[in-house]
Amino acid sequence: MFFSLLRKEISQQVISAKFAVMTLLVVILALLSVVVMVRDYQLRTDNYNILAPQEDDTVAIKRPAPMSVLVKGLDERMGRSITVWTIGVLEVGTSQSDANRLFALFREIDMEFVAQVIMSLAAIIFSFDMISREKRRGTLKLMLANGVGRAKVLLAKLLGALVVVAIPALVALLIGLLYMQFTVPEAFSGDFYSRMLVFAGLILLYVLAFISIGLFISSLTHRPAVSLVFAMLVWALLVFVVPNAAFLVGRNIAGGETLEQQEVKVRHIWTSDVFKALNNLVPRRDFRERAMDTAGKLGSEYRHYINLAERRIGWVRLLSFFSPAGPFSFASWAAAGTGPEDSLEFKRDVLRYQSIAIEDAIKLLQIARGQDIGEPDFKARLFVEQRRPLTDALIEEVFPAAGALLFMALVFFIATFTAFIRYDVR
Amino acid sequence: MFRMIVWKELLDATRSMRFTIGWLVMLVLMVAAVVLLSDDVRQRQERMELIERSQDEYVSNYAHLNRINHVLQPVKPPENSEVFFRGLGDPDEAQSFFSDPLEKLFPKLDFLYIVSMLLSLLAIIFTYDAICGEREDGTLKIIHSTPVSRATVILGKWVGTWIAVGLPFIAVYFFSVLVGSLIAGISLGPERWIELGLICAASLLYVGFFLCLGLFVSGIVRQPGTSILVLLFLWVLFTMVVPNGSPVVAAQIKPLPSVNEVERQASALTDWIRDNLVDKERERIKQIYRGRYAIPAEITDYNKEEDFLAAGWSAEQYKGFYDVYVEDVRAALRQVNEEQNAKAHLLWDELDRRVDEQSGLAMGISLLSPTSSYVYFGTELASVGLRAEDYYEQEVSQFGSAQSAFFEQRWHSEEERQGRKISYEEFIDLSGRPRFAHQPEAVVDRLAGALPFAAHFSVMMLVALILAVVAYLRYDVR
Repeated sequence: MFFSLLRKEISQQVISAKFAVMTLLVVILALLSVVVMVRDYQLRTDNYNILAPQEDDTVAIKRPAPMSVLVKGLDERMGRSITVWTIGVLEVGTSQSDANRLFALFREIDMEFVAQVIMSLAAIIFSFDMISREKRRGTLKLMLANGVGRAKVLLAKLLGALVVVAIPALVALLIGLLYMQFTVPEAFSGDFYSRMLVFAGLILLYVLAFISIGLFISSLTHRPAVSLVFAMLVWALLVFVVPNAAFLVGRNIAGGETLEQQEVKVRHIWTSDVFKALNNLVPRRDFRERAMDTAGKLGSEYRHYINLAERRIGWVRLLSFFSPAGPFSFASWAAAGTGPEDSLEFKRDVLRYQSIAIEDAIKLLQIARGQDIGEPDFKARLFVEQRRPLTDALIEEVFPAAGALLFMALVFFIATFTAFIRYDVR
Repeated sequence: MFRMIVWKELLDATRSMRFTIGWLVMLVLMVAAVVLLSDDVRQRQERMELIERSQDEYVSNYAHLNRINHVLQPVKPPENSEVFFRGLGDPDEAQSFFSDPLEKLFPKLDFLYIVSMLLSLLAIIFTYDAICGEREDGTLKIIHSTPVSRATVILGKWVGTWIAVGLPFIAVYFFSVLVGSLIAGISLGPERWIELGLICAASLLYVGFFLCLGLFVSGIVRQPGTSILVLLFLWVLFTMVVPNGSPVVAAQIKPLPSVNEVERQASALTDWIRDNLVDKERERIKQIYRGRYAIPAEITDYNKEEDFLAAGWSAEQYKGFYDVYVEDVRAALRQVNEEQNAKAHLLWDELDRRVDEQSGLAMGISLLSPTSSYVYFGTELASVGLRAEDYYEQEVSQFGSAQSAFFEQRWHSEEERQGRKISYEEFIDLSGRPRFAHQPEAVVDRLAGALPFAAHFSVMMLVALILAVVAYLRYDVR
């Protein structure tokens, strides 16, 4: 019985104008997004090859992540070179998008955006009047008159909508991957496929959560017109408002120094150290000792920033869990390796590299000053990029987020069931 | 008759569920947004004072001419308008190690965001069934059984809905403005009030576009269900796809040369290439002076007075020679710097030209949507856009010149006072230095820059209105 219910749900949705319009929207956007993002990835990779550190460079840089085609996150930020100066100052390089300031006004459209905004919209559109529409048609009472339990009816609707919303999106994703296969085949690896699967799974859970919410809205009213307004506003709040409000509130709660304060402090530290050394205000030491000392002070400033950033991310993530969009975004970024935690991990790597790099920078300076230091070994000290392994991302971010999404879906499903028990189906 | 229709639409709208829910949500949203943003502005202003104090402390202990420009770079204070409007943000933010990893990932919930994304959605929700819904209810044919023209009906609907949306918006808007200015503790001058008023008016025009779009689509389909779908499709295109896609598409049609490559070349010119040239010049001048003053070959460092005294020179002789020599070297240094800077400038100018081309293309593409022009209008007028960034850069550059001039002057007067040459690495008293004071551009100038965008979305609204009227003229009301 259940499967015939499910079949009926799916076939009813598939022949509707809704399905045609939404599928068109999702597929066109997903494909456009992949085409544009692939080109963007290629340009960034070219730029990376220009910047890739040579034998005696004290430069840290991260290669563009293949998953950034689908979930761009902070990948562009992480693609900036970080140069370690002799004295330990870390200088971040420019990026192609710095030049055109319009990039700062609008967000890029990657698959994560398409899923977060468009697929949740599709989910809500399909589910917000699932019950009230069926009641209007008169088939709801017919179904229940045949001894079908209310729970089964709801479950069939839930899963039916999931299939109808998710399948076109996954098809679009597959076509996108095919396109990537032809344009950037080097992006594919076992790791890439695993991350892809995780991302696809997250999309399914995210859509499920929104269908559940839509279904709940549908169980509260008898007229689709009323539930539409409600559904649209709930969708807009959950997708646009909650995450952004979480960012502002979370940052507020976490507090800490502003960027300008930290920049000014760094300038003060190293310039005053140089000043003190040149004006004999500190006991005489060799250049190497002085550089390591300054680098140590700078290092603690940089580490303080990382702790601050961790605190901010923690609060924002927590507050964003009031909407399915929050866990979906954070988990997608983690799965792709382009999220805020990955950016911090890169910076921690740079700090670990800093002390090694200073040794090299000092050697370069000594060579430039004509001192004889024998054969310097630079190659062994090139920055080695380390990516957070997928298993870490899964345990730390993806599983909790998936759990949250499932929990939301369950809570709203139970709420729907409770409302539906009292629903007048006639 | 027109007035009656307007009144009827107004009543219809205000008595509906969507009006109540919609406006409740708007009120909560705008007030909440303003509370969060104003608190952020207040905190940043406090931090600015801390920074000023730490700069003063540094200057009184460690000021030296070599790196003073690097240390005393101006820090941009928050604009008053940032309580309500956020735009481009800090241009140097991305290039700092201390950049907030979350900043880029979340757009700011400001008035422009709320209006451009959410109020437009609300407008669509109000009008998606304005015509087809009434047709279904059967009231549309009743209206037309009276001798009222179609134009009157559709224009009446438009005006009525616009008032129903507009009046509450104005109330909520100015209430939030008051709340925001109280929390941030800022006093809004007449210029800011003009700016706020104009952006309110612009928001009404922008929302008007979506109202007309809703009327148009509602007037070409038969079912409200289809209407809302088509409208959502268009809404996504206008508010998200076109604005967000335009910079990326432009970057691919007109790509820039590698910014890092240009940087590398420009740095080389003003860094090690300049240093090499400076060394050469110094050697050249040294040889000239060696010949002119018959300096013994053992003396290689002309800055060491003791070597000259040991060779039999008197202190006055050395001073006479050294002052002239140092001036010559400094003049040569200045010239080398100027030449190398000019060469680097050429490289940057070429890049800037290409950037302008790409930005121009991006802006052009984005103008397919009124959302883009509305956001440009708002950010330009509220001093948080591209124009304001350029203006601030000019302010900083002017201040930089004034500051440098002060340093030069203080340096020369100190050298005179102490009767000796002061090197770049020594402490120098810089008390009384000029302070950077940021003044936003005059509102008239900002408005001049923003007006073309206002014209753009106003025209789009008119076009949508005309489409709505024309569609309705042919609509089967039965």
